[in-house]
Amino acid sequence: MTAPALSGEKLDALQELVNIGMGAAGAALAKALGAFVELTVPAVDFTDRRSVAGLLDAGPWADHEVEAVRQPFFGAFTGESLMIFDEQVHAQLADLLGYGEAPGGEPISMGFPNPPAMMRGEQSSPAPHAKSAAQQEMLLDLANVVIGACVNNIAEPIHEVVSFGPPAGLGTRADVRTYLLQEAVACHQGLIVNLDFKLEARSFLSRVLVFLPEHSLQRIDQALTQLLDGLAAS
Amino acid sequence: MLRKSLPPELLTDVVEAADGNEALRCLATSHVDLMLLDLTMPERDGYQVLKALNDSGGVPPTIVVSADAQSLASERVMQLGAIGFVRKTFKPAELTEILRRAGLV
Repeated sequence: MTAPALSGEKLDALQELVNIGMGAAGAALAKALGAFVELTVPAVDFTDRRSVAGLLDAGPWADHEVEAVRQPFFGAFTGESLMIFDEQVHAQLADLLGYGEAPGGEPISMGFPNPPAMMRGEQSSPAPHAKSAAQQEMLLDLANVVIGACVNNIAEPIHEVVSFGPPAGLGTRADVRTYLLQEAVACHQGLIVNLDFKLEARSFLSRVLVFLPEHSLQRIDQALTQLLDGLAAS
Repeated sequence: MLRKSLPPELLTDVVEAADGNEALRCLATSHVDLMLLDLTMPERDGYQVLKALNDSGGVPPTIVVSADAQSLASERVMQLGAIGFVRKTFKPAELTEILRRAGLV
Protein backbone atom coordinates (compact mmCIF):
# COMPACT_ATOMS: atom_id res chain seq x y z
CA MET A 1 0.00 0.00 0.00
CA THR A 2 1.40 3.39 -0.98
CA ALA A 3 1.73 5.97 1.77
CA PRO A 4 -1.08 8.53 1.58
CA ALA A 5 -0.03 11.64 -0.32
CA LEU A 6 -2.77 13.81 1.18
CA SER A 7 -3.09 15.04 4.73
CA GLY A 8 -6.08 13.89 6.81
CA GLU A 9 -7.98 17.13 6.30
CA LYS A 10 -7.43 17.08 2.55
CA LEU A 11 -8.31 13.41 2.32
CA ASP A 12 -11.58 14.25 4.09
CA ALA A 13 -12.15 17.08 1.62
CA LEU A 14 -11.45 14.78 -1.31
CA GLN A 15 -13.89 12.26 0.15
CA GLU A 16 -16.48 15.03 0.19
CA LEU A 17 -15.76 15.91 -3.43
CA VAL A 18 -16.14 12.26 -4.35
CA ASN A 19 -19.39 12.19 -2.41
CA ILE A 20 -20.62 15.14 -4.45
CA GLY A 21 -19.51 13.45 -7.65
CA MET A 22 -21.37 10.34 -6.63
CA GLY A 23 -24.53 12.29 -5.90
CA ALA A 24 -24.39 13.91 -9.32
CA ALA A 25 -23.68 10.59 -11.00
CA GLY A 26 -26.54 8.94 -9.15
CA ALA A 27 -28.90 11.71 -10.19
CA ALA A 28 -27.75 11.37 -13.79
CA LEU A 29 -28.39 7.64 -13.63
CA ALA A 30 -31.80 8.18 -12.04
CA LYS A 31 -32.76 10.74 -14.67
CA ALA A 32 -31.61 8.54 -17.54
CA LEU A 33 -33.52 5.52 -16.27
CA GLY A 34 -36.48 7.14 -14.54
CA ALA A 35 -35.74 5.18 -11.37
CA PHE A 36 -34.59 6.01 -7.84
CA VAL A 37 -30.93 5.23 -7.24
CA GLU A 38 -29.71 4.11 -3.83
CA LEU A 39 -26.32 5.60 -3.02
CA THR A 40 -23.77 3.95 -0.76
CA VAL A 41 -20.80 5.47 1.02
CA PRO A 42 -18.10 6.05 -1.59
CA ALA A 43 -14.70 4.58 -0.90
CA VAL A 44 -11.52 6.52 -1.56
CA ASP A 45 -8.39 4.41 -1.30
CA PHE A 46 -4.81 4.51 -2.37
CA THR A 47 -4.36 1.86 -4.96
CA ASP A 48 -2.94 -1.49 -4.33
CA ARG A 49 -2.48 -3.62 -7.41
CA ARG A 50 -3.76 -6.80 -5.85
CA SER A 51 -6.82 -5.19 -4.33
CA VAL A 52 -7.74 -3.51 -7.61
CA ALA A 53 -7.34 -6.69 -9.55
CA GLY A 54 -9.40 -8.48 -6.93
CA LEU A 55 -12.34 -6.09 -7.18
CA LEU A 56 -14.32 -8.51 -9.29
CA ASP A 57 -13.73 -11.38 -6.89
CA ALA A 58 -15.27 -9.73 -3.86
CA GLY A 59 -18.76 -8.96 -2.67
CA PRO A 60 -21.72 -9.10 -5.01
CA TRP A 61 -19.53 -9.15 -8.10
CA ALA A 62 -17.96 -12.51 -7.45
CA ASP A 63 -20.93 -14.51 -8.71
CA HIS A 64 -21.89 -12.38 -11.70
CA GLU A 65 -20.85 -12.04 -15.28
CA VAL A 66 -19.73 -8.47 -15.86
CA GLU A 67 -19.07 -5.99 -18.60
CA ALA A 68 -17.83 -2.43 -18.38
CA VAL A 69 -17.29 0.88 -20.10
CA ARG A 70 -14.02 2.74 -19.71
CA GLN A 71 -13.50 6.43 -20.41
CA PRO A 72 -10.40 8.58 -20.10
CA PHE A 73 -10.47 12.20 -19.00
CA PHE A 74 -7.97 14.98 -19.56
CA GLY A 75 -7.26 18.56 -18.63
CA ALA A 76 -6.41 19.96 -15.24
CA PHE A 77 -6.12 16.41 -14.04
CA THR A 78 -6.08 13.25 -16.07
CA GLY A 79 -7.22 9.76 -15.32
CA GLU A 80 -9.49 6.94 -16.31
CA SER A 81 -12.92 5.98 -15.19
CA LEU A 82 -14.61 2.63 -15.45
CA MET A 83 -18.28 1.80 -15.01
CA ILE A 84 -18.97 -1.88 -14.37
CA PHE A 85 -22.33 -3.60 -14.78
CA ASP A 86 -23.54 -7.07 -13.98
CA GLU A 87 -25.24 -9.32 -16.50
CA GLN A 88 -28.72 -8.16 -15.55
CA VAL A 89 -28.16 -4.70 -16.94
CA HIS A 90 -29.42 -5.20 -20.49
CA ALA A 91 -32.68 -6.86 -19.49
CA GLN A 92 -33.27 -4.27 -16.80
CA LEU A 93 -32.51 -1.38 -19.14
CA ALA A 94 -34.86 -2.80 -21.74
CA ASP A 95 -37.57 -3.03 -19.11
CA LEU A 96 -36.94 0.40 -17.62
CA LEU A 97 -36.64 2.22 -20.91
CA GLY A 98 -39.38 0.28 -22.62
CA TYR A 99 -37.51 -0.94 -25.65
CA GLY A 100 -37.54 -4.44 -27.00
CA GLU A 101 -36.14 -4.14 -30.46
CA ALA A 102 -33.13 -2.40 -31.89
CA PRO A 103 -33.53 0.16 -34.69
CA GLY A 104 -34.23 -1.69 -37.89
CA GLY A 105 -36.24 -4.35 -36.18
CA GLU A 106 -33.33 -6.43 -34.91
CA PRO A 107 -34.49 -8.26 -31.82
CA ILE A 108 -32.51 -7.48 -28.70
CA SER A 109 -31.26 -10.53 -26.86
CA MET A 110 -31.76 -10.27 -23.12
CA GLY A 111 -29.11 -12.82 -22.37
CA PHE A 112 -25.37 -12.57 -22.37
CA PRO A 113 -24.31 -15.03 -25.06
CA ASN A 114 -20.67 -14.69 -26.03
CA PRO A 115 -20.33 -10.90 -25.95
CA PRO A 116 -17.65 -9.32 -28.11
CA ALA A 117 -14.16 -9.24 -26.66
CA MET A 118 -13.68 -5.50 -26.78
CA MET A 119 -15.32 -2.61 -28.57
CA ARG A 120 -12.84 0.23 -28.01
CA GLY A 121 -15.53 2.78 -28.67
CA GLU A 122 -16.12 1.87 -32.29
CA GLN A 123 -18.82 -0.06 -33.99
CA SER A 124 -17.45 -3.28 -35.36
CA SER A 125 -18.98 -6.09 -37.35
CA PRO A 126 -21.33 -7.97 -35.08
CA ALA A 127 -20.01 -11.35 -34.10
CA PRO A 128 -22.37 -14.30 -34.05
CA HIS A 129 -24.45 -14.19 -30.83
CA ALA A 130 -23.06 -10.74 -29.98
CA LYS A 131 -25.16 -8.24 -28.10
CA SER A 132 -26.86 -5.90 -30.49
CA ALA A 133 -25.30 -2.59 -31.43
CA ALA A 134 -28.27 -0.86 -29.81
CA GLN A 135 -27.58 -2.57 -26.48
CA GLN A 136 -23.90 -1.70 -26.60
CA GLU A 137 -24.62 1.87 -27.57
CA MET A 138 -27.10 2.19 -24.71
CA LEU A 139 -24.48 1.07 -22.22
CA LEU A 140 -21.84 3.43 -23.65
CA ASP A 141 -24.27 6.35 -23.49
CA LEU A 142 -25.32 5.54 -19.96
CA ALA A 143 -21.76 5.23 -18.70
CA ASN A 144 -20.79 8.41 -20.53
CA VAL A 145 -23.50 10.37 -18.71
CA VAL A 146 -22.74 8.90 -15.30
CA ILE A 147 -18.95 9.16 -15.54
CA GLY A 148 -19.23 12.71 -16.87
CA ALA A 149 -21.44 13.78 -13.98
CA CYS A 150 -19.15 12.13 -11.47
CA VAL A 151 -15.82 13.49 -12.70
CA ASN A 152 -17.17 16.95 -13.54
CA ASN A 153 -18.61 17.30 -10.08
CA ILE A 154 -15.33 16.32 -8.49
CA ALA A 155 -13.55 18.91 -10.63
CA GLU A 156 -16.04 21.76 -10.39
CA PRO A 157 -15.75 22.62 -6.67
CA ILE A 158 -11.99 22.93 -7.03
CA HIS A 159 -12.45 25.11 -10.12
CA GLU A 160 -10.91 22.66 -12.51
CA VAL A 161 -12.10 21.69 -15.97
CA VAL A 162 -11.73 18.28 -17.56
CA SER A 163 -12.63 16.92 -20.97
CA PHE A 164 -13.41 13.35 -21.92
CA GLY A 165 -12.23 10.83 -24.45
CA PRO A 166 -14.67 8.44 -26.11
CA PRO A 167 -16.16 5.69 -23.97
CA ALA A 168 -15.16 2.17 -24.93
CA GLY A 169 -16.71 -1.15 -24.05
CA LEU A 170 -15.07 -4.04 -22.23
CA GLY A 171 -17.29 -6.97 -23.06
CA THR A 172 -16.25 -9.74 -20.72
CA ARG A 173 -15.01 -10.38 -17.19
CA ALA A 174 -11.60 -11.28 -18.64
CA ASP A 175 -11.43 -7.93 -20.48
CA VAL A 176 -12.36 -6.04 -17.33
CA ARG A 177 -9.81 -7.96 -15.27
CA THR A 178 -7.06 -7.26 -17.81
CA TYR A 179 -7.97 -3.58 -17.80
CA LEU A 180 -7.96 -3.38 -13.99
CA LEU A 181 -4.50 -4.92 -13.86
CA GLN A 182 -3.19 -2.51 -16.50
CA GLU A 183 -4.74 0.49 -14.78
CA ALA A 184 -3.46 -0.61 -11.39
CA VAL A 185 0.05 -0.72 -12.83
CA ALA A 186 -0.35 2.65 -14.57
CA CYS A 187 -1.48 4.44 -11.43
CA HIS A 188 -0.02 2.37 -8.67
CA GLN A 189 0.77 5.49 -6.69
CA GLY A 190 -2.58 7.11 -7.25
CA LEU A 191 -6.08 6.98 -5.91
CA ILE A 192 -8.93 4.70 -6.68
CA VAL A 193 -12.43 5.96 -6.08
CA ASN A 194 -15.14 3.32 -5.78
CA LEU A 195 -18.83 4.17 -6.10
CA ASP A 196 -21.58 1.55 -5.94
CA PHE A 197 -25.04 2.24 -7.32
CA LYS A 198 -28.14 0.14 -6.82
CA LEU A 199 -31.46 0.85 -8.41
CA GLU A 200 -34.38 0.66 -6.05
CA ALA A 201 -36.50 -2.43 -6.75
CA ARG A 202 -34.17 -3.44 -9.56
CA SER A 203 -31.64 -6.19 -9.60
CA PHE A 204 -28.70 -4.91 -11.59
CA LEU A 205 -25.54 -3.67 -9.96
CA SER A 206 -23.26 -0.94 -11.21
CA ARG A 207 -19.99 0.43 -9.94
CA VAL A 208 -17.91 3.41 -11.00
CA LEU A 209 -14.17 3.42 -10.48
CA VAL A 210 -12.08 6.53 -10.99
CA PHE A 211 -8.32 6.12 -11.31
CA LEU A 212 -6.25 9.18 -10.55
CA PRO A 213 -2.51 8.83 -11.08
CA GLU A 214 0.13 10.48 -8.92
CA HIS A 215 0.57 13.64 -11.02
CA SER A 216 -3.19 14.25 -10.96
CA LEU A 217 -3.17 13.77 -7.24
CA GLN A 218 -0.58 16.52 -6.87
CA ARG A 219 -2.78 18.89 -8.86
CA ILE A 220 -5.81 17.98 -6.78
CA ASP A 221 -3.74 18.44 -3.61
CA GLN A 222 -2.97 22.03 -4.64
CA ALA A 223 -6.59 22.71 -5.52
CA LEU A 224 -7.81 21.29 -2.21
CA THR A 225 -5.39 23.55 -0.35
CA GLN A 226 -6.93 26.57 -2.07
CA LEU A 227 -10.45 25.29 -1.44
CA LEU A 228 -9.86 24.74 2.29
CA ASP A 229 -8.05 28.07 2.66
CA GLY A 230 -10.99 29.74 0.96
CA LEU A 231 -13.50 28.10 3.31
CA ALA A 232 -11.44 29.08 6.34
CA ALA A 233 -11.27 32.70 5.15
CA SER A 234 -14.98 33.02 4.36
CA MET B 1 -15.44 20.61 5.23
CA LEU B 2 -19.07 20.84 6.41
CA ARG B 3 -17.97 22.44 9.66
CA LYS B 4 -16.01 25.06 7.73
CA SER B 5 -19.10 25.81 5.65
CA LEU B 6 -21.31 26.51 8.67
CA PRO B 7 -22.16 29.96 10.02
CA PRO B 8 -19.97 30.54 13.12
CA GLU B 9 -23.03 31.14 15.34
CA LEU B 10 -24.02 27.50 14.79
CA LEU B 11 -20.69 26.18 16.00
CA THR B 12 -20.94 26.85 19.72
CA ASP B 13 -21.51 23.27 20.88
CA VAL B 14 -21.17 20.68 18.13
CA VAL B 15 -21.31 16.91 18.51
CA GLU B 16 -20.21 14.81 15.55
CA ALA B 17 -21.28 11.25 14.75
CA ALA B 18 -19.42 9.01 12.32
CA ASP B 19 -22.45 6.99 11.25
CA GLY B 20 -26.17 6.62 11.71
CA ASN B 21 -25.97 4.37 14.77
CA GLU B 22 -23.65 6.76 16.56
CA ALA B 23 -26.02 9.61 15.71
CA LEU B 24 -28.92 7.76 17.32
CA ARG B 25 -26.84 7.06 20.44
CA CYS B 26 -25.95 10.77 20.69
CA LEU B 27 -29.58 11.76 20.27
CA ALA B 28 -30.65 9.31 22.99
CA THR B 29 -28.37 10.87 25.56
CA SER B 30 -28.16 14.55 24.58
CA HIS B 31 -30.54 17.37 23.81
CA VAL B 32 -30.00 18.52 20.25
CA ASP B 33 -31.22 21.89 18.96
CA LEU B 34 -30.37 21.16 15.35
CA MET B 35 -29.19 18.07 13.49
CA LEU B 36 -27.35 18.22 10.17
CA LEU B 37 -27.81 14.80 8.68
CA ASP B 38 -26.08 13.17 5.73
CA LEU B 39 -27.89 10.49 3.76
CA THR B 40 -25.02 8.26 2.70
CA MET B 41 -23.47 6.91 5.90
CA PRO B 42 -22.08 3.56 6.98
CA GLU B 43 -24.06 1.23 9.23
CA ARG B 44 -27.34 3.14 9.03
CA ASP B 45 -28.09 5.76 6.38
CA GLY B 46 -29.89 9.05 6.84
CA TYR B 47 -33.28 7.71 5.80
CA GLN B 48 -32.99 4.93 8.39
CA VAL B 49 -32.00 7.43 11.08
CA LEU B 50 -35.10 9.52 10.35
CA LYS B 51 -37.32 6.44 10.33
CA ALA B 52 -35.88 5.26 13.66
CA LEU B 53 -36.47 8.69 15.18
CA ASN B 54 -40.03 8.71 13.89
CA ASP B 55 -40.61 5.31 15.46
CA SER B 56 -39.13 6.36 18.79
CA GLY B 57 -41.04 9.52 19.37
CA GLY B 58 -39.76 12.40 17.35
CA VAL B 59 -37.30 14.00 14.99
CA PRO B 60 -35.31 16.99 16.27
CA PRO B 61 -35.05 19.94 13.90
CA THR B 62 -33.11 18.32 11.09
CA ILE B 63 -31.58 19.67 7.92
CA VAL B 64 -30.40 16.98 5.55
CA VAL B 65 -27.09 17.90 3.93
CA SER B 66 -26.45 15.53 1.07
CA ALA B 67 -24.78 15.17 -2.27
CA ASP B 68 -27.79 13.23 -3.50
CA ALA B 69 -29.15 15.36 -6.31
CA GLN B 70 -32.31 13.32 -6.90
CA SER B 71 -35.43 15.38 -6.27
CA LEU B 72 -37.08 12.30 -4.80
CA ALA B 73 -34.42 12.21 -2.08
CA SER B 74 -35.48 15.66 -0.92
CA GLU B 75 -39.17 14.72 -0.99
CA ARG B 76 -38.58 11.58 1.03
CA VAL B 77 -36.62 13.24 3.85
CA MET B 78 -39.21 16.02 4.13
CA GLN B 79 -41.91 13.36 4.47
CA LEU B 80 -39.80 11.80 7.24
CA GLY B 81 -39.77 15.02 9.20
CA ALA B 82 -36.73 16.99 8.08
CA ILE B 83 -37.20 20.76 8.02
CA GLY B 84 -34.95 21.25 5.01
CA PHE B 85 -32.63 19.73 2.45
CA VAL B 86 -29.47 21.34 1.12
CA ARG B 87 -27.34 19.87 -1.57
CA LYS B 88 -23.58 19.78 -1.25
CA THR B 89 -21.93 22.10 -1.96
CA PHE B 90 -24.09 24.75 -0.39
CA LYS B 91 -23.75 28.34 0.72
CA PRO B 92 -24.13 29.09 4.45
CA ALA B 93 -27.00 31.43 3.53
CA GLU B 94 -29.05 28.42 2.39
CA LEU B 95 -28.85 26.90 5.87
CA THR B 96 -29.63 30.22 7.50
CA GLU B 97 -32.71 30.63 5.29
CA ILE B 98 -34.07 27.21 6.31
CA LEU B 99 -33.43 28.00 9.98
CA ARG B 100 -35.15 31.37 9.57
CA ARG B 101 -38.19 29.76 7.95
CA ALA B 102 -38.36 27.24 10.80
CA GLY B 103 -38.14 30.03 13.34
CA LEU B 104 -34.86 28.73 14.75
CA VAL B 105 -32.83 31.92 14.25
